[in-house]
Amino acid sequence: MTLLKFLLLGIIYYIGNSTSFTLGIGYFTLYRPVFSGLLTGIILGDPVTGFLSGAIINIFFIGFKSTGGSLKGGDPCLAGIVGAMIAVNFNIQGVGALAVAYPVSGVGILFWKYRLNLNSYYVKEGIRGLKKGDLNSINQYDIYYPQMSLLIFNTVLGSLLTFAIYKLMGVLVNLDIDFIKYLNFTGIILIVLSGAILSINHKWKYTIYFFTFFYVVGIFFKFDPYLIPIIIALLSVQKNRRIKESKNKFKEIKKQDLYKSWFIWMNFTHSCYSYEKLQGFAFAHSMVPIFKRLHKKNKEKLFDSILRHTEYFNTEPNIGTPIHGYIIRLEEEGKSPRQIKEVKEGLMGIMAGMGDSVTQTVLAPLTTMAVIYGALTGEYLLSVGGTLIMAASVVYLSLKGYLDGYYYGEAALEERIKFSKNSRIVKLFPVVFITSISIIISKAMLISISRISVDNIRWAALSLLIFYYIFYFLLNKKIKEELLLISVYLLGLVLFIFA
Amino acid sequence: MKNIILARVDDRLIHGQITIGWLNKINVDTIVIVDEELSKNNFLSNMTKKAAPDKYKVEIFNEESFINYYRNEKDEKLLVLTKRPQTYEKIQNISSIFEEINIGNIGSKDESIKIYKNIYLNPEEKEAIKNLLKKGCIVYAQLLPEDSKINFEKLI
Repeated sequence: MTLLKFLLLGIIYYIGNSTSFTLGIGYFTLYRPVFSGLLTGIILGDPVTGFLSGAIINIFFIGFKSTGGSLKGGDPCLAGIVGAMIAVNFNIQGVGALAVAYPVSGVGILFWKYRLNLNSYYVKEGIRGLKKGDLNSINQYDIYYPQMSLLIFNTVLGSLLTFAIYKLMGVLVNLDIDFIKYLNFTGIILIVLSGAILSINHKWKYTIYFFTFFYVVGIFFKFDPYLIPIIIALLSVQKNRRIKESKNKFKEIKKQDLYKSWFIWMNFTHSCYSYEKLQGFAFAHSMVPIFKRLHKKNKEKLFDSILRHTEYFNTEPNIGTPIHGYIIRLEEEGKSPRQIKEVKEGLMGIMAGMGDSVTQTVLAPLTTMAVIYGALTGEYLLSVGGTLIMAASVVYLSLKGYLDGYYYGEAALEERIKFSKNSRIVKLFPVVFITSISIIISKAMLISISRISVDNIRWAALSLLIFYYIFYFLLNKKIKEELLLISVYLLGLVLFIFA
Repeated sequence: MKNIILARVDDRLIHGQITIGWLNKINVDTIVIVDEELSKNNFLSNMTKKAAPDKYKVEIFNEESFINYYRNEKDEKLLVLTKRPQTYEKIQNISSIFEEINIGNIGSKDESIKIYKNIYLNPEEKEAIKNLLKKGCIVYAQLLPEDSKINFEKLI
């Protein structure tokens, strides 16, 4: 591998990790292993292998969520890059790549803390600039400096890490023992363990039976991969209810101002994400076009208003947008800063709790599963479809929220709560999820086992259910996930020795 | 009897860390928010109740009405949320209800100093936590169930 390629991998790490400049879609796509794996594959000249190994690694990360500045486990994007890199270079399959990529991805989380602290500094400087009457400072400190720092830092970190892993793997695969075989065994059990973890996290009365049934079906029957997404699509069809209240009658703010505000918000919610303000600085940034319109003749008021909105703020960026529309409306109505602050603070948590349990918990896993399933079965149209649905949902929900919040005010907020809580797919999610993931895991296991020399692939895949039951039982007894994850690496060793 | 499973300070009350972090790990049936301002604001308290997960009963009180509620006989397993540590201090001054208090998120305001990751305290908040500690309450920082608890004796 040339140095340029390592550098490019570092840049992919930046793109996936930044999630900026992507209208909020990047977090649900480029940040996930199946996409970062594909991009890595493209750079290394083997997109098919990159995509497939990324997909298998993504099964392990399918339950990934980050709430309010907390980040746990591993960095999915980094896992995809590292995994796809070794899959392509050392002819290791996805599960084996996962066994290496998972522990390495923990490094990404370590640096998350420093990013949020560095951004605290940028926010402070940005606010100082605004206080001096320099409107440009919000662009500089919300976009330019944090993104430049991240670009440099992630490119260096990503390149160095992939380079180090590349060299290390070069040594390990040339050892006398069959190291790759050990990795594959370990990876297979890691996927089985993630099946058990997901079952526990989406537990209802029949989880274990559903998982067993569809896992077996997935192993012994071939069926049209489009069947699952069609069923999911039918379930998620929803009547688009009209809000009955009449639109507000204010004249000053134009629709284009709302679009501009939305555009800034969606691109930079997490551009300068800091412990101190979380999305507060991004919220203020998104209000710039609004106050430019409202206070175009009063410079002092313009800056005062923007500064007022730099306070601590955090919500689910897509579902939570009626807050923005509603706040804009209240600003135009000339409500007092105290009133506006109270509404904003009251609403951010409400929308965050509900929003996270829709987008991160339901929407992202469902569409990502479609992408993964497409990668496993070679039906790439399915992957494209899943990606498009995710992208369209993010844009539609966020923009509609923005506009409705402005035009319909409180009614729009209530409507969003109804939408999020009553949608059929949210209610049926545990069943749909366990069904789909068990089929996906069975397919992934068949692919993985077919490349290890065993007598009967199907029976070997079936026997893995024993591990699933053991893990399920242990997790149910409140044994810690971390402990099981470590023990999988030892278990892989045991299997390796006996095989 | 009321059984307090978790008592937490979180300035965003019921948000993602609660709905997808804590509620999946702890066994409660009622979410109790103690906040004077919110209890007076019809629109916001209505929204808070509607948006919370359906499985749980949501109650919103001020300090006094919370104490009355706590003393009634009905069996309930509670998650208690407040925006500020001062709320707990006020309650403890009247009646020692809480043994442990979890500090989740307190965002920065004017005069706040960073204490730990997501926790910024202004002088009044710091004072309140000191008083809670003095009264024998265990006060600890812990963002999510997977995180380790960090005792505030060490932090301030």
